[in-house]
Amino acid sequence: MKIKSSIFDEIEFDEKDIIVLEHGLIGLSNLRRFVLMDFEDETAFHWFQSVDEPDMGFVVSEPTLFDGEYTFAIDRKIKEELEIGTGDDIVVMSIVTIKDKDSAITGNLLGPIVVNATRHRGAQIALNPEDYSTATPLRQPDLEAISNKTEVGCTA
Amino acid sequence: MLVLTRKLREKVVISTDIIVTVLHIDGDQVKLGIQAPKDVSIHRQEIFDEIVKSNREALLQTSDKNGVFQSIMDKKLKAGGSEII
Repeated sequence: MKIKSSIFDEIEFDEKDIIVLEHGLIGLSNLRRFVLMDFEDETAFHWFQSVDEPDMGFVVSEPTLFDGEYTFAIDRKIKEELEIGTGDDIVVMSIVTIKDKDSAITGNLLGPIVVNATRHRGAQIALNPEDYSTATPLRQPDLEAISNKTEVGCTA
Repeated sequence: MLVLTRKLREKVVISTDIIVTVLHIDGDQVKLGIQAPKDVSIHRQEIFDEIVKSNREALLQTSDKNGVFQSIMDKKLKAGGSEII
């Protein structure tokens, strides 16, 4: 499947790779279908492309870039919604915001996207604001260093 | 929307296992006690508003890209997400 995007021109992906967020993103319920893309030569960040709105997408990353101890429980309703079964592959992503003023990169750890990669179903959930924030800075501020994910994993 | 009037210490039962109690009233502030199973998520509306704001900010940057963001967006996309999925 191909879509025309103003950001990346043409984006090609396999239809079977589409991840469905039944309720869309929080506050953006029209964005329900996404594909997760990689950037060339970039392992720390990924691109979460909207299939419904080709001009929309998010930079995402593993939450561990921002917090090495990141943990939360998935509630019953979400487990049902994502059809999570034993042995399913569950992936958690943080939406990344990059403030252009001082190039500060932050991750939204308060509202992670949880994906059941086995069933291609996802949801954005809200965690406890006493535990996490929508703008958590990188653990290591050097962007060069995060291009190698394994290095970051060792800095904890 | 269902509207119910409750007095101090009166309760509302949602489904069979969620109980909301009016614990304290002080002017325009109402303290609610919520009993619910551990795996039911309960949030203040503000939390969702904060996430909505953050989502919109992250979206906006794609149309107003520069600096570090530009350096990421300059990279070509390839299908997969293989690193994490």
